[in-house]
Amino acid sequence: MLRQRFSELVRDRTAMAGAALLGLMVLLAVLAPVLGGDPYRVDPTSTLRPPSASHWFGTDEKGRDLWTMVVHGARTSLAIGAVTTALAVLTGYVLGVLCGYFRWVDAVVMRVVDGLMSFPSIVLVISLVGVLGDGVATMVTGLTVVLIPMVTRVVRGAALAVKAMPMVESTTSLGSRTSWVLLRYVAPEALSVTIVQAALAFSVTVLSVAALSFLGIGLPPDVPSWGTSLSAAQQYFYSAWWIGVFPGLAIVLTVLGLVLLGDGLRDVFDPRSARK
Amino acid sequence: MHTTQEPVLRVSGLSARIGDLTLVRDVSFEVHRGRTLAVVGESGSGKSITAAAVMGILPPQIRAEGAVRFDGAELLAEPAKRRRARGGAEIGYVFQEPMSALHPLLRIGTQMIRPLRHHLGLSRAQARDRAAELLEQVGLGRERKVLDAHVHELSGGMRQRVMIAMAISCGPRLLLADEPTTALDPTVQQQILRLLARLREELDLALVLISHDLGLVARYSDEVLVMYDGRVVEQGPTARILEQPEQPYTRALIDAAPRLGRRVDRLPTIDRAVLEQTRATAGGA
Amino acid sequence: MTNYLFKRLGALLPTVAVPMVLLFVMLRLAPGDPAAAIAGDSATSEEIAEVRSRLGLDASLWQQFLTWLGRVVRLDFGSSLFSDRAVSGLVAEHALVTVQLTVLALAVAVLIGPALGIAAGTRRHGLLDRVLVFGSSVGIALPSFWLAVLLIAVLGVVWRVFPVAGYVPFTEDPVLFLHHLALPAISLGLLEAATLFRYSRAGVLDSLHQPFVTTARSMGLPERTVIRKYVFRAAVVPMVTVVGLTAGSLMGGAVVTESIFSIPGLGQLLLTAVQRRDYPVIEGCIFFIAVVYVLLNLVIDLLYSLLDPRIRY
Repeated sequence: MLRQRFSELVRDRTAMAGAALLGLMVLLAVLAPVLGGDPYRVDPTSTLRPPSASHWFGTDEKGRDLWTMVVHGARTSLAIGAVTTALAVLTGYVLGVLCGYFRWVDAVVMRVVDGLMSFPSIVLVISLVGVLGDGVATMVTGLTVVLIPMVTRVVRGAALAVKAMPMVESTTSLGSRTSWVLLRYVAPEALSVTIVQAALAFSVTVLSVAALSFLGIGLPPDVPSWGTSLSAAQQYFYSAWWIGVFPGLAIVLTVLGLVLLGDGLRDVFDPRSARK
Repeated sequence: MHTTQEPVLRVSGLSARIGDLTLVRDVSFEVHRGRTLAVVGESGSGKSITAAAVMGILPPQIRAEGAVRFDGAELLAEPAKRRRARGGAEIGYVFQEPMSALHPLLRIGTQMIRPLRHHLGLSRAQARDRAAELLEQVGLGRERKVLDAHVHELSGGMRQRVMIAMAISCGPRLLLADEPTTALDPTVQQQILRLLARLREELDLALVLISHDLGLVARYSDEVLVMYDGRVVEQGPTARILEQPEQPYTRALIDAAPRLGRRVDRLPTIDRAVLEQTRATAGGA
Repeated sequence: MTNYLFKRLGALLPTVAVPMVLLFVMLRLAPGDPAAAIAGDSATSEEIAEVRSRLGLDASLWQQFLTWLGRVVRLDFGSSLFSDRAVSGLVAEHALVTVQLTVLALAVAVLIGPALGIAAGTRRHGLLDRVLVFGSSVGIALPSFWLAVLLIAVLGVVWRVFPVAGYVPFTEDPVLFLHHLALPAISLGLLEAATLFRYSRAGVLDSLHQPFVTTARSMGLPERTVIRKYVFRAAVVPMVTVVGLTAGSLMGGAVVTESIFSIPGLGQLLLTAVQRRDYPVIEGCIFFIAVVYVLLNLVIDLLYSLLDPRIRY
């Protein structure tokens, strides 16, 4: 079943274009130390240099090589994105399964989920970072809290569907332990919708990290990130367009990759909601 | 008796395909003015697709081939625009589910008035009067309440009457009714079939009545065409088909029909062997 | 109707309560002494104690919660830790600007998105459809602040068509007001138009094959009439929800956009508060945004019942 879906996914051109974009960004992030120079090396003698053979993307206002900043920015974005998504999926998964099986958990958790989901996530993350203080850990916490509801909601749906399956009803009535039933049936049913949500969550994270660092919130200012680079571009755009263009392109390509991959995943794994 | 007169609709060698899959194969029949043809078969036998092919409302991925002559014109060869213009004005179509076939957000009056104005060139007030008359003709009374209602406010039988009133509103010569009673209660089913029979008389319509229930529509039809697996299994005058069915499949359909007032102890089923035999003979035909 | 209103308000309560409680909990879970962090590095222990008591951090957790709840219910958010101005006044003043920006951006989104969605949906797989679908994917991937930076560069700095920053109140000069808000409204609204485009295209595609549309075709009505009178009418109802949600996410997006264009709105207030950890102001901003969300939801419900006769409260 899973293998068949995977081969369907491979034949989906949109999904593959997305995967290729994302793969490229991951490759840049992983190989950043090899591909780029030292992101912390400031060179006051060569600030705002246009793109050239020695600086492919030019240099920024502090004389740092922009190509180096972009590939290290990929590292920052994708690392935070991966950790946040993993945490959100894990927590959301457990909560969703619990919701599907215990009425009182469902009543409480779903109210909280509704409340969080209807609130603009960027505002909430900004406020949480404001309350908790700056730092990578803070940002990951804030983003995770915002993303958990998305996963919880779809996993809960899958868990409820599984609960209604005749085979599950019969195994429970035979005295099978609930936890075993949960693991045996909910996991595969919820897997597909969770994968789709994970792609979505990842893209939200990348955009949010960029927005926060653009605003100068969360990440320490010397950590290389696309948002921080773009923020500098506001002042220097007229004299140095490259600072405004390359980091922005990096964000768009990454998120576009995730959106396209997510659309493809949804077509293959969750065809019921695919055309909505 | 009607052989001298040109039939309103003559379908010959009609087939419908989706990709490599053939849904309807080589169906031929004709319908005359004032006569009713019942097309009978189980769901999936291709009877609704046949009707949709005649009407020209097949989903785009299904292709129809063969000949559909209506009033001397070859419909399948006509440009889409010309075919569309025949809808309502020359051919009426009654759908199975009036609940979903009527717009949920528009008033009944609005939905009835639009085709009247388009085809007959009536003014808004004239069209509204005409719509009220039509509703009276299908037994909904002259009061204007129904015109101002939305489809969800009507009962199942009322909805289907509205659907029929709309289908006949612009003076078609041919009426295609696709399972018009399936969504209704048994007593209402009879009322709707009687209404269709009456309208056929009054308006001298050629009527094609599609149903899975041979026992139900037999009383209201002059001829029967039995379909199975996209092919015609048997066709002929209703009385002959009922009394001396040639095919075991038709026999099975007659036996399967539950009759009013008869207690059913065991739901009748169609024997597997009969189905296989039918498939074999129909394939050879 | 009144009964319904109460039920609905009850269901919407979490939208206000959850973010507020979350902030309450987070402040108390924050590592280290939040009062010390808020008061700053050079603060004396008296100053820290003063901040602690103003935030109500010096009582037991339950006591803190009850006091906090009492204040929130009375809409008393206290005053800013920095300017001593009442939070309610600050929020009201800045919110007005944000609401204006949001309305303008929503107008941009609503004028562009659905029209293109309908155009694409009725010409499925055509060139226009492909181009627009791809464009909307890019639009969804594009961060609004980057679009803002690009627009400023091209329209503001190179061509000098629009001012790059600032705000003029409507009452002072309506033309200058629009001139200043044009770029922020476009950069916010254009991207939301991409979302509206996707939904309206899907809605049209969905309605095109509804049985009642087939009925209209079977009655011989021209395709143009079928699309205008039958397809649109069905597709417009779900769009109400999407537009409502868009208005909400625009308010969120405005937070970022305002900081780029130096517009003195809620976003700027919140951002300054976050940078200075001005906790009461953060709380007030969140509360206001949540309440706007609840009101938006109620308006959506009302519009729904006007557009769909099947829904009666």
